[in-house]
Amino acid sequence: MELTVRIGNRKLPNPVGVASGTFGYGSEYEELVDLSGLGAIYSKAVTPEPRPGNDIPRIIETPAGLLNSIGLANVGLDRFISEKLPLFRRFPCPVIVNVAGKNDEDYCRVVEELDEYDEVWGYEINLSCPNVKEGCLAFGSNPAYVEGLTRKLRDLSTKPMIIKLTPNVTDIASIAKAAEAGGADAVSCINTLVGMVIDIHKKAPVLPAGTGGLSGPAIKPVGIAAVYRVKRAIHIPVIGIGGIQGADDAIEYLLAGASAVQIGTATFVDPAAPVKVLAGIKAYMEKERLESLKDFHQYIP
Amino acid sequence: MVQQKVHLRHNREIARDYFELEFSCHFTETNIPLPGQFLTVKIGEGPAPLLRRPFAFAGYENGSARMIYQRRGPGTDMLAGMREGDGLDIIAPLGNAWPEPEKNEHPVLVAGGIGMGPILYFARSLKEKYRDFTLIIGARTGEYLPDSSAIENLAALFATDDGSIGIHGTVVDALPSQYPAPPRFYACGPNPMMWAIHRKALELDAPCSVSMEQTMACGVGACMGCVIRLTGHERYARVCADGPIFDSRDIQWN
Repeated sequence: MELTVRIGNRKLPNPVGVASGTFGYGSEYEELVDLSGLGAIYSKAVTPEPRPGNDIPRIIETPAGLLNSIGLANVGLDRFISEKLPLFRRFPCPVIVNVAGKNDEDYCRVVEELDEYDEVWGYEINLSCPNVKEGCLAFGSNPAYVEGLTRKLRDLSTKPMIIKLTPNVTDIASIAKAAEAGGADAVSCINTLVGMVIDIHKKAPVLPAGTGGLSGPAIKPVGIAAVYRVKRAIHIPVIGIGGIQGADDAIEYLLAGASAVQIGTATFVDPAAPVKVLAGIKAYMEKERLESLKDFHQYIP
Repeated sequence: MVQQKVHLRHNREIARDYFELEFSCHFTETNIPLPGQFLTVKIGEGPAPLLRRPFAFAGYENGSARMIYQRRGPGTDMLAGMREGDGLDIIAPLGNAWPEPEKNEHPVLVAGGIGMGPILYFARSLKEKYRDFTLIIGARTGEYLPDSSAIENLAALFATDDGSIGIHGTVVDALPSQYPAPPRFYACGPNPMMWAIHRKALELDAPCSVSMEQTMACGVGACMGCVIRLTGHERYARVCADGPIFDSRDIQWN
Protein backbone atom coordinates (compact mmCIF):
# COMPACT_ATOMS: atom_id res chain seq x y z
CA MET A 1 0.00 0.00 0.00
CA GLU A 2 1.44 3.34 -1.08
CA LEU A 3 0.70 6.08 1.44
CA THR A 4 3.30 8.67 0.54
CA VAL A 5 2.24 11.96 -1.02
CA ARG A 6 4.47 13.86 -3.42
CA ILE A 7 4.44 17.62 -2.93
CA GLY A 8 6.89 19.33 -5.28
CA ASN A 9 10.28 17.65 -4.96
CA ARG A 10 9.54 15.88 -1.68
CA LYS A 11 7.31 13.16 -0.30
CA LEU A 12 5.17 13.24 2.83
CA PRO A 13 5.27 9.87 4.63
CA ASN A 14 1.47 9.70 4.82
CA PRO A 15 -1.53 11.88 3.93
CA VAL A 16 -2.67 12.92 7.44
CA GLY A 17 -1.21 16.15 8.80
CA VAL A 18 -2.21 18.44 11.66
CA ALA A 19 -3.48 21.87 10.65
CA SER A 20 -1.76 25.16 11.34
CA GLY A 21 -2.92 26.94 14.47
CA THR A 22 -4.33 23.79 16.04
CA PHE A 23 -1.08 22.06 16.99
CA GLY A 24 1.05 24.98 18.25
CA TYR A 25 4.69 24.33 17.48
CA GLY A 26 4.29 20.58 18.01
CA SER A 27 5.86 20.33 21.46
CA GLU A 28 2.56 21.19 23.18
CA TYR A 29 1.12 17.85 22.04
CA GLU A 30 4.26 15.74 22.33
CA GLU A 31 3.14 13.99 25.51
CA LEU A 32 -0.23 13.02 24.01
CA VAL A 33 0.41 12.30 20.34
CA ASP A 34 2.85 9.89 18.70
CA LEU A 35 4.35 12.40 16.28
CA SER A 36 5.95 9.63 14.22
CA GLY A 37 2.46 8.76 12.98
CA LEU A 38 1.84 12.19 11.48
CA GLY A 39 2.17 12.95 7.79
CA ALA A 40 3.21 16.50 8.69
CA ILE A 41 2.92 19.16 11.33
CA TYR A 42 1.80 22.48 9.86
CA SER A 43 3.21 24.98 12.36
CA LYS A 44 1.48 27.91 13.99
CA ALA A 45 1.70 30.84 11.53
CA VAL A 46 4.98 32.77 11.66
CA THR A 47 5.16 36.50 10.98
CA PRO A 48 8.40 38.52 10.98
CA GLU A 49 7.43 40.36 14.18
CA PRO A 50 5.99 38.79 17.35
CA ARG A 51 2.23 39.25 17.61
CA PRO A 52 0.27 39.22 20.88
CA GLY A 53 -2.94 38.25 19.06
CA ASN A 54 -6.47 39.58 19.29
CA ASP A 55 -8.48 40.84 22.25
CA ILE A 56 -10.49 38.41 24.41
CA PRO A 57 -12.58 36.34 24.30
CA ARG A 58 -11.03 34.63 21.30
CA ILE A 59 -13.11 31.51 20.91
CA ILE A 60 -16.68 30.34 21.22
CA GLU A 61 -18.27 27.00 20.47
CA THR A 62 -21.09 26.98 17.92
CA PRO A 63 -23.36 24.09 16.85
CA ALA A 64 -20.83 21.43 15.75
CA GLY A 65 -18.27 24.17 15.24
CA LEU A 66 -15.69 26.48 16.76
CA LEU A 67 -15.50 30.19 15.99
CA ASN A 68 -12.08 31.69 16.67
CA SER A 69 -10.35 35.02 16.47
CA ILE A 70 -6.80 34.28 17.62
CA GLY A 71 -5.21 36.87 15.36
CA LEU A 72 -2.02 35.03 14.38
CA ALA A 73 -0.59 35.24 17.91
CA ASN A 74 2.98 34.01 17.47
CA VAL A 75 6.51 34.43 18.81
CA GLY A 76 7.88 36.14 15.69
CA LEU A 77 10.63 35.03 13.33
CA ASP A 78 13.64 35.54 15.64
CA ARG A 79 12.26 33.49 18.50
CA PHE A 80 10.85 30.97 16.03
CA ILE A 81 14.38 30.36 14.79
CA SER A 82 16.04 30.31 18.21
CA GLU A 83 13.36 28.45 20.20
CA LYS A 84 11.12 26.46 17.88
CA LEU A 85 13.41 25.20 15.10
CA PRO A 86 15.52 23.22 17.62
CA LEU A 87 12.30 21.40 18.66
CA PHE A 88 11.61 20.42 15.06
CA ARG A 89 15.02 18.79 14.83
CA ARG A 90 13.90 16.02 17.18
CA PHE A 91 10.46 15.53 15.59
CA PRO A 92 10.10 12.28 13.61
CA CYS A 93 7.79 13.87 11.00
CA PRO A 94 8.03 16.70 8.46
CA VAL A 95 7.37 20.22 9.72
CA ILE A 96 5.76 22.60 7.24
CA VAL A 97 6.00 26.21 8.34
CA ASN A 98 2.87 28.30 7.94
CA VAL A 99 3.90 31.79 6.81
CA ALA A 100 1.84 34.99 7.26
CA GLY A 101 2.39 38.71 6.93
CA LYS A 102 0.92 42.09 6.19
CA ASN A 103 2.69 42.60 2.86
CA ASP A 104 4.90 40.86 0.28
CA GLU A 105 8.07 41.77 2.11
CA ASP A 106 6.87 40.01 5.28
CA TYR A 107 6.18 36.74 3.47
CA CYS A 108 9.46 36.92 1.55
CA ARG A 109 11.46 37.68 4.66
CA VAL A 110 10.13 34.68 6.57
CA VAL A 111 10.79 32.27 3.68
CA GLU A 112 14.19 33.78 2.92
CA GLU A 113 15.41 33.52 6.51
CA LEU A 114 14.05 30.02 7.12
CA ASP A 115 15.13 28.44 3.86
CA GLU A 116 18.63 27.47 4.97
CA TYR A 117 17.29 25.31 7.83
CA ASP A 118 16.86 21.62 7.06
CA GLU A 119 14.25 21.36 9.84
CA VAL A 120 11.88 23.25 7.57
CA TRP A 121 10.41 20.67 5.16
CA GLY A 122 8.36 23.20 3.25
CA TYR A 123 6.01 26.16 3.50
CA GLU A 124 2.30 26.72 3.70
CA ILE A 125 1.59 30.29 2.68
CA ASN A 126 -1.32 31.65 4.68
CA LEU A 127 -3.29 33.84 2.28
CA SER A 128 -6.50 33.17 4.09
CA CYS A 129 -6.56 34.15 7.78
CA PRO A 130 -9.88 35.96 8.33
CA ASN A 131 -8.84 37.44 11.69
CA VAL A 132 -6.25 40.10 10.94
CA LYS A 133 -6.80 43.54 9.51
CA GLU A 134 -3.88 43.60 7.09
CA GLY A 135 -2.71 41.02 4.58
CA CYS A 136 -3.84 37.43 4.44
CA LEU A 137 -7.49 37.37 3.42
CA ALA A 138 -7.30 40.64 1.49
CA PHE A 139 -4.46 39.13 -0.59
CA GLY A 140 -5.95 35.66 -0.82
CA SER A 141 -9.10 36.81 -2.56
CA ASN A 142 -7.25 38.49 -5.43
CA PRO A 143 -5.99 36.03 -8.10
CA ALA A 144 -3.46 38.44 -9.62
CA TYR A 145 -1.99 39.12 -6.22
CA VAL A 146 -1.83 35.42 -5.31
CA GLU A 147 -0.01 34.63 -8.55
CA GLY A 148 2.47 37.46 -8.04
CA LEU A 149 3.32 36.63 -4.45
CA THR A 150 3.55 32.90 -5.17
CA ARG A 151 6.05 33.63 -7.96
CA LYS A 152 8.19 35.79 -5.68
CA LEU A 153 8.25 33.10 -3.00
CA ARG A 154 8.92 30.39 -5.59
CA ASP A 155 12.08 32.24 -6.60
CA LEU A 156 13.29 32.18 -2.98
CA SER A 157 13.03 28.46 -2.30
CA THR A 158 13.03 25.06 -3.97
CA LYS A 159 11.23 23.49 -0.99
CA PRO A 160 7.59 22.48 -1.28
CA MET A 161 5.40 25.59 -1.44
CA ILE A 162 1.74 25.17 -0.53
CA ILE A 163 -0.77 28.00 -0.85
CA LYS A 164 -3.54 27.91 1.76
CA LEU A 165 -6.80 29.09 0.24
CA THR A 166 -9.74 30.88 1.78
CA PRO A 167 -13.33 29.76 1.18
CA ASN A 168 -14.47 33.36 1.66
CA VAL A 169 -14.40 34.13 -2.07
CA THR A 170 -16.81 33.83 -4.98
CA ASP A 171 -14.64 31.50 -7.03
CA ILE A 172 -12.05 29.50 -5.09
CA ALA A 173 -10.94 27.68 -8.27
CA SER A 174 -9.68 30.93 -9.82
CA ILE A 175 -7.46 31.55 -6.77
CA ALA A 176 -6.14 27.99 -6.96
CA LYS A 177 -5.33 28.46 -10.66
CA ALA A 178 -3.43 31.64 -9.81
CA ALA A 179 -1.38 29.79 -7.18
CA GLU A 180 -0.57 27.06 -9.71
CA ALA A 181 0.41 29.64 -12.33
CA GLY A 182 2.71 31.31 -9.79
CA GLY A 183 4.57 28.05 -9.26
CA ALA A 184 2.93 26.56 -6.16
CA ASP A 185 3.48 22.84 -5.53
CA ALA A 186 0.11 22.33 -3.88
CA VAL A 187 -2.85 24.18 -2.41
CA SER A 188 -4.56 23.50 0.90
CA CYS A 189 -8.22 24.22 1.22
CA ILE A 190 -10.00 25.39 3.13
CA ASN A 191 -9.10 27.88 5.84
CA THR A 192 -11.92 28.92 8.20
CA LEU A 193 -15.19 30.48 7.08
CA VAL A 194 -16.04 33.98 8.28
CA GLY A 195 -18.71 33.75 10.97
CA MET A 196 -20.30 35.75 13.76
CA VAL A 197 -22.04 34.97 17.05
CA ILE A 198 -24.10 37.63 18.81
CA ASP A 199 -24.76 37.60 22.54
CA ILE A 200 -28.47 38.45 22.69
CA HIS A 201 -28.22 39.59 26.32
CA LYS A 202 -25.37 42.01 25.69
CA LYS A 203 -26.73 42.71 22.20
CA ALA A 204 -23.19 42.62 20.82
CA PRO A 205 -20.91 40.13 19.05
CA VAL A 206 -19.21 37.70 21.42
CA LEU A 207 -15.83 38.22 19.71
CA PRO A 208 -14.48 41.76 20.16
CA ALA A 209 -13.42 41.77 16.50
CA GLY A 210 -17.03 41.03 15.55
CA THR A 211 -16.32 38.16 13.20
CA GLY A 212 -14.11 35.11 13.51
CA GLY A 213 -13.19 31.99 11.58
CA LEU A 214 -15.48 28.96 11.77
CA SER A 215 -14.01 25.45 11.88
CA GLY A 216 -15.19 22.02 12.96
CA PRO A 217 -17.66 19.43 11.65
CA ALA A 218 -20.10 22.18 10.62
CA ILE A 219 -17.89 23.25 7.71
CA LYS A 220 -17.03 19.85 6.26
CA PRO A 221 -19.43 19.94 3.29
CA VAL A 222 -18.05 23.37 2.36
CA GLY A 223 -14.52 22.00 2.39
CA ILE A 224 -15.45 18.94 0.34
CA ALA A 225 -17.11 21.12 -2.31
CA ALA A 226 -14.10 23.44 -2.39
CA VAL A 227 -11.69 20.54 -2.92
CA TYR A 228 -13.93 19.16 -5.65
CA ARG A 229 -14.01 22.50 -7.48
CA VAL A 230 -10.32 23.21 -7.06
CA LYS A 231 -9.23 19.74 -8.13
CA ARG A 232 -11.08 20.15 -11.45
CA ALA A 233 -9.26 23.42 -12.10
CA ILE A 234 -5.61 22.57 -11.35
CA HIS A 235 -3.05 19.79 -11.78
CA ILE A 236 -1.05 20.20 -8.56
CA PRO A 237 -2.09 18.29 -5.40
CA VAL A 238 -4.91 19.55 -3.20
CA ILE A 239 -4.72 19.15 0.57
CA GLY A 240 -8.20 18.91 2.08
CA ILE A 241 -9.04 20.62 5.38
CA GLY A 242 -12.26 21.39 7.15
CA GLY A 243 -14.27 19.48 9.70
CA ILE A 244 -12.50 16.13 9.51
CA GLN A 245 -13.34 14.26 12.72
CA GLY A 246 -12.83 10.67 11.69
CA ALA A 247 -11.49 8.51 8.87
CA ASP A 248 -14.77 8.60 6.94
CA ASP A 249 -14.52 12.38 6.66
CA ALA A 250 -10.94 12.16 5.40
CA ILE A 251 -11.95 9.49 2.86
CA GLU A 252 -14.66 11.84 1.56
CA TYR A 253 -11.97 14.45 0.95
CA LEU A 254 -9.74 11.93 -0.84
CA LEU A 255 -12.66 10.86 -3.04
CA ALA A 256 -13.38 14.51 -3.83
CA GLY A 257 -9.87 14.89 -5.18
CA ALA A 258 -7.61 15.60 -2.19
CA SER A 259 -4.15 14.03 -2.16
CA ALA A 260 -3.69 14.61 1.56
CA VAL A 261 -5.68 16.04 4.47
CA GLN A 262 -5.19 18.08 7.61
CA ILE A 263 -6.89 17.55 10.96
CA GLY A 264 -7.56 20.70 12.99
CA THR A 265 -10.35 21.18 15.48
CA ALA A 266 -10.73 17.40 15.92
CA THR A 267 -7.31 17.25 17.58
CA PHE A 268 -8.66 19.51 20.34
CA VAL A 269 -11.49 17.06 20.88
CA ASP A 270 -9.32 13.95 20.68
CA PRO A 271 -5.54 14.27 20.32
CA ALA A 272 -5.52 10.73 18.95
CA ALA A 273 -7.75 11.78 16.02
CA PRO A 274 -4.94 12.11 13.40
CA VAL A 275 -3.59 8.65 14.21
CA LYS A 276 -7.09 7.16 14.15
CA VAL A 277 -7.82 8.82 10.80
CA LEU A 278 -4.71 7.32 9.22
CA ALA A 279 -5.57 3.87 10.56
CA GLY A 280 -9.08 4.24 9.14
CA ILE A 281 -7.79 5.29 5.71
CA LYS A 282 -5.52 2.24 5.61
CA ALA A 283 -8.36 -0.09 6.60
CA TYR A 284 -10.59 1.42 3.91
CA MET A 285 -7.88 1.07 1.25
CA GLU A 286 -7.41 -2.56 2.18
CA LYS A 287 -11.12 -3.27 2.09
CA GLU A 288 -11.65 -1.40 -1.20
CA ARG A 289 -8.42 -2.76 -2.69
CA LEU A 290 -6.94 0.65 -3.33
CA GLU A 291 -3.18 0.44 -3.85
CA SER A 292 -2.29 4.09 -3.50
CA LEU A 293 -3.88 7.42 -2.64
CA LYS A 294 -4.07 8.19 -6.36
CA ASP A 295 -6.55 5.34 -6.71
CA PHE A 296 -9.11 7.41 -4.82
CA HIS A 297 -9.12 9.88 -7.68
CA GLN A 298 -10.72 7.52 -10.16
CA TYR A 299 -13.91 8.29 -8.25
CA ILE A 300 -13.71 12.08 -8.39
CA PRO A 301 -17.31 13.19 -8.98
CA MET B 1 -0.33 14.77 31.00
CA VAL B 2 -2.02 11.62 29.73
CA GLN B 3 -5.22 10.80 27.90
CA GLN B 4 -7.11 7.92 29.48
CA LYS B 5 -10.49 6.29 29.70
CA VAL B 6 -11.74 6.36 33.28
CA HIS B 7 -14.84 4.95 34.94
CA LEU B 8 -17.28 6.72 37.21
CA ARG B 9 -17.48 5.68 40.83
CA HIS B 10 -20.16 8.18 41.72
CA ASN B 11 -21.83 11.33 40.41
CA ARG B 12 -24.01 13.01 42.99
CA GLU B 13 -25.55 16.39 43.64
CA ILE B 14 -23.79 18.10 46.57
CA ALA B 15 -25.65 21.43 46.28
CA ARG B 16 -28.35 22.76 44.03
CA ASP B 17 -27.03 22.25 40.45
CA TYR B 18 -23.56 21.32 41.75
CA PHE B 19 -22.34 17.77 41.32
CA GLU B 20 -19.34 15.86 42.56
CA LEU B 21 -18.08 13.27 40.11
CA GLU B 22 -15.59 10.67 41.27
CA PHE B 23 -13.75 8.31 38.94
CA SER B 24 -11.08 5.67 39.19
CA CYS B 25 -7.92 6.54 37.28
CA HIS B 26 -4.26 5.86 37.12
CA PHE B 27 -1.44 8.39 37.28
CA THR B 28 2.26 7.67 37.63
CA GLU B 29 4.19 9.12 40.56
CA THR B 30 5.39 12.10 38.47
CA ASN B 31 1.93 12.79 37.06
CA ILE B 32 -0.26 12.91 40.18
CA PRO B 33 -2.87 15.70 39.93
CA LEU B 34 -2.07 18.45 42.42
CA PRO B 35 -4.51 20.92 44.02
CA GLY B 36 -5.12 23.66 41.45
CA GLN B 37 -4.53 21.47 38.40
CA PHE B 38 -7.33 20.51 36.04
CA LEU B 39 -8.52 17.90 33.58
CA THR B 40 -10.43 18.10 30.32
CA VAL B 41 -13.33 15.79 29.65
CA LYS B 42 -14.87 14.68 26.37
CA ILE B 43 -18.61 14.68 26.89
CA GLY B 44 -20.64 12.44 24.59
CA GLU B 45 -19.69 11.35 21.10
CA GLY B 46 -20.18 14.74 19.46
CA PRO B 47 -20.37 16.77 17.38
CA ALA B 48 -22.30 18.74 20.03
CA PRO B 49 -20.98 19.51 22.51
CA LEU B 50 -17.82 19.64 20.45
CA LEU B 51 -14.90 20.73 22.61
CA ARG B 52 -13.61 19.03 25.72
CA ARG B 53 -14.65 20.77 28.92
CA PRO B 54 -12.12 21.76 31.61
CA PHE B 55 -12.75 21.03 35.31
CA ALA B 56 -10.46 21.53 38.29
CA PHE B 57 -9.54 18.53 40.39
CA ALA B 58 -11.48 18.52 43.66
CA GLY B 59 -9.45 15.64 45.07
CA TYR B 60 -7.17 12.74 44.31
CA GLU B 61 -6.15 9.77 46.41
CA ASN B 62 -5.34 6.11 45.83
CA GLY B 63 -6.30 5.96 42.18
CA SER B 64 -9.51 7.88 42.62
CA ALA B 65 -10.07 11.50 41.53
CA ARG B 66 -12.91 13.95 42.05
CA MET B 67 -14.18 17.04 40.28
CA ILE B 68 -17.06 19.37 41.08
CA TYR B 69 -19.14 20.84 38.27
CA GLN B 70 -22.19 23.01 37.91
CA ARG B 71 -25.04 21.95 35.67
CA ARG B 72 -25.47 24.95 33.40
CA GLY B 73 -25.77 23.81 29.80
CA PRO B 74 -26.20 20.88 27.42
CA GLY B 75 -22.70 19.50 28.14
CA THR B 76 -22.98 19.49 31.92
CA ASP B 77 -26.59 18.19 31.60
CA MET B 78 -25.14 15.17 29.83
CA LEU B 79 -22.49 14.80 32.54
CA ALA B 80 -25.15 14.93 35.24
CA GLY B 81 -26.90 12.03 33.54
CA MET B 82 -23.88 9.73 33.80
CA ARG B 83 -23.98 6.79 36.18
CA GLU B 84 -21.57 4.61 38.13
CA GLY B 85 -19.49 2.50 35.76
CA ASP B 86 -19.89 4.79 32.76
CA GLY B 87 -16.67 5.59 30.87
CA LEU B 88 -15.19 9.04 30.43
CA ASP B 89 -12.30 10.22 28.21
CA ILE B 90 -10.03 12.55 30.21
CA ILE B 91 -6.72 14.37 29.69
CA ALA B 92 -4.86 15.20 32.91
CA PRO B 93 -3.21 16.59 34.88
CA LEU B 94 -3.09 19.99 33.18
CA GLY B 95 -1.91 23.44 34.24
CA ASN B 96 -0.10 24.56 37.37
CA ALA B 97 -0.84 24.03 41.06
CA TRP B 98 -1.56 26.38 43.97
CA PRO B 99 1.77 27.66 45.31
CA GLU B 100 2.52 26.36 48.80
CA PRO B 101 2.26 28.93 51.60
CA GLU B 102 5.46 29.89 53.39
CA LYS B 103 5.92 28.53 56.92
CA ASN B 104 5.18 31.89 58.54
CA GLU B 105 2.07 32.58 56.43
CA HIS B 106 -1.57 31.91 57.28
CA PRO B 107 -3.38 30.57 54.18
CA VAL B 108 -6.81 32.11 53.57
CA LEU B 109 -8.80 30.04 51.06
CA VAL B 110 -11.83 31.64 49.43
CA ALA B 111 -14.26 29.88 47.09
CA GLY B 112 -17.36 31.00 45.24
CA GLY B 113 -19.61 28.69 43.24
CA ILE B 114 -17.73 26.22 41.10
CA GLY B 115 -14.48 27.49 42.65
CA MET B 116 -15.14 25.23 45.61
CA GLY B 117 -13.59 22.20 43.85
CA PRO B 118 -9.94 23.30 43.68
CA ILE B 119 -10.21 25.17 47.00
CA LEU B 120 -11.55 22.14 48.90
CA TYR B 121 -8.80 19.96 47.42
CA PHE B 122 -6.19 22.50 48.51
CA ALA B 123 -7.73 22.79 51.98
CA ARG B 124 -7.57 19.02 52.45
CA SER B 125 -3.93 18.94 51.34
CA LEU B 126 -3.08 21.67 53.87
CA LYS B 127 -4.92 19.77 56.60
CA GLU B 128 -2.93 16.64 55.80
CA LYS B 129 0.20 18.69 56.39
CA TYR B 130 -1.23 19.92 59.72
CA ARG B 131 -1.37 23.49 58.45
CA ASP B 132 -3.74 25.96 60.06
CA PHE B 133 -5.89 27.83 57.52
CA THR B 134 -9.09 29.84 57.07
CA LEU B 135 -11.64 28.50 54.56
CA ILE B 136 -14.52 30.64 53.31
CA ILE B 137 -17.17 29.52 50.85
CA GLY B 138 -19.72 31.92 49.39
CA ALA B 139 -22.97 31.38 47.49
CA ARG B 140 -26.16 33.22 46.53
CA THR B 141 -28.23 31.21 49.01
CA GLY B 142 -27.69 28.27 51.33
CA GLU B 143 -28.98 25.70 48.85
CA TYR B 144 -25.98 26.42 46.58
CA LEU B 145 -23.50 25.59 49.35
CA PRO B 146 -21.94 22.11 49.31
CA ASP B 147 -23.28 19.54 51.78
CA SER B 148 -21.26 18.24 54.71
CA SER B 149 -19.97 15.19 52.84
CA ALA B 150 -18.09 17.47 50.41
CA ILE B 151 -16.85 19.80 53.15
CA GLU B 152 -15.87 16.91 55.47
CA ASN B 153 -14.21 18.26 58.61
CA LEU B 154 -12.64 21.35 57.05
CA ALA B 155 -14.22 23.96 59.36
CA ALA B 156 -15.49 26.19 56.58
CA LEU B 157 -17.03 29.62 57.11
CA PHE B 158 -20.03 30.37 54.90
CA ALA B 159 -21.33 33.58 53.40
CA THR B 160 -24.63 33.86 51.52
CA ASP B 161 -26.15 36.84 49.73
CA ASP B 162 -29.48 36.27 51.51
CA GLY B 163 -28.06 35.26 54.88
CA SER B 164 -29.81 31.88 54.78
CA ILE B 165 -26.62 30.14 55.95
CA GLY B 166 -23.56 31.72 57.53
CA ILE B 167 -22.74 35.39 57.27
CA HIS B 168 -25.25 37.61 55.49
CA GLY B 169 -23.03 39.13 52.80
CA THR B 170 -20.12 38.34 50.51
CA VAL B 171 -16.99 36.31 51.12
CA VAL B 172 -15.14 39.58 51.71
CA ASP B 173 -17.52 40.35 54.59
CA ALA B 174 -16.66 36.93 56.00
CA LEU B 175 -12.91 37.57 56.10
CA PRO B 176 -11.55 37.73 59.65
CA SER B 177 -10.39 41.13 60.90
CA GLN B 178 -7.21 39.59 62.26
CA TYR B 179 -5.04 36.62 61.32
CA PRO B 180 -2.74 34.51 63.53
CA ALA B 181 0.10 35.12 61.04
CA PRO B 182 0.59 37.23 57.89
CA PRO B 183 -2.18 36.07 55.53
CA ARG B 184 -1.69 34.62 52.07
CA PHE B 185 -4.83 34.53 49.94
CA TYR B 186 -6.02 31.82 47.55
CA ALA B 187 -9.22 32.47 45.60
CA CYS B 188 -11.30 30.64 43.01
CA GLY B 189 -14.73 31.76 41.88
CA PRO B 190 -16.44 34.39 39.76
CA ASN B 191 -14.13 37.17 38.56
CA PRO B 192 -15.76 39.95 40.66
CA MET B 193 -15.20 37.82 43.77
CA MET B 194 -11.55 37.15 42.96
CA TRP B 195 -11.03 40.80 42.13
CA ALA B 196 -12.44 41.77 45.53
CA ILE B 197 -10.11 39.33 47.30
CA HIS B 198 -7.21 40.69 45.24
CA ARG B 199 -8.03 44.26 46.41
CA LYS B 200 -8.21 43.05 50.01
CA ALA B 201 -4.82 41.37 49.62
CA LEU B 202 -3.37 44.60 48.19
CA GLU B 203 -4.74 46.50 51.20
CA LEU B 204 -3.00 44.06 53.55
CA ASP B 205 0.11 43.88 51.35
CA ALA B 206 -0.44 40.10 51.25
CA PRO B 207 0.24 37.70 48.37
CA CYS B 208 -2.81 36.40 46.53
CA SER B 209 -3.19 33.56 44.03
CA VAL B 210 -6.27 33.22 41.87
CA SER B 211 -7.49 30.42 39.61
CA MET B 212 -8.73 31.89 36.33
CA GLU B 213 -11.33 30.60 33.92
CA GLN B 214 -11.67 31.12 30.17
CA THR B 215 -13.28 29.24 27.30
CA MET B 216 -10.77 26.59 26.25
CA ALA B 217 -10.21 24.67 23.04
CA CYS B 218 -7.05 22.55 23.25
CA GLY B 219 -6.28 22.71 26.98
CA VAL B 220 -2.57 22.04 26.39
CA GLY B 221 -1.19 25.43 25.32
CA ALA B 222 -1.35 25.00 21.55
CA CYS B 223 -4.26 27.08 20.28
CA MET B 224 -3.84 30.43 22.13
CA GLY B 225 -7.63 30.54 22.55
CA CYS B 226 -7.98 30.69 26.35
CA VAL B 227 -5.86 33.76 27.05
CA ILE B 228 -6.53 36.42 29.69
CA ARG B 229 -5.11 39.95 29.92
CA LEU B 230 -2.02 40.61 32.01
CA THR B 231 -0.62 43.84 33.41
CA GLY B 232 3.04 43.32 32.47
CA HIS B 233 5.11 43.28 29.33
CA GLU B 234 3.49 40.09 28.04
CA ARG B 235 -0.02 41.22 27.17
CA TYR B 236 -1.76 37.84 27.36
CA ALA B 237 -1.30 34.53 29.15
CA ARG B 238 -2.83 31.16 28.39
CA VAL B 239 -5.06 29.96 31.22
CA CYS B 240 -4.45 26.30 30.30
CA ALA B 241 -0.65 26.27 30.10
CA ASP B 242 0.55 29.40 31.92
CA GLY B 243 -2.17 29.03 34.60
CA PRO B 244 -4.84 28.42 35.69
CA ILE B 245 -3.25 29.74 38.91
CA PHE B 246 -1.87 33.28 38.62
CA ASP B 247 -0.51 35.89 41.00
CA SER B 248 -3.48 38.25 41.30
CA ARG B 249 -1.15 41.22 40.77
CA ASP B 250 -0.36 40.00 37.25
CA ILE B 251 -4.02 40.03 36.16
CA GLN B 252 -5.56 42.99 34.40
CA TRP B 253 -8.86 43.00 36.27
CA ASN B 254 -10.87 45.65 34.45
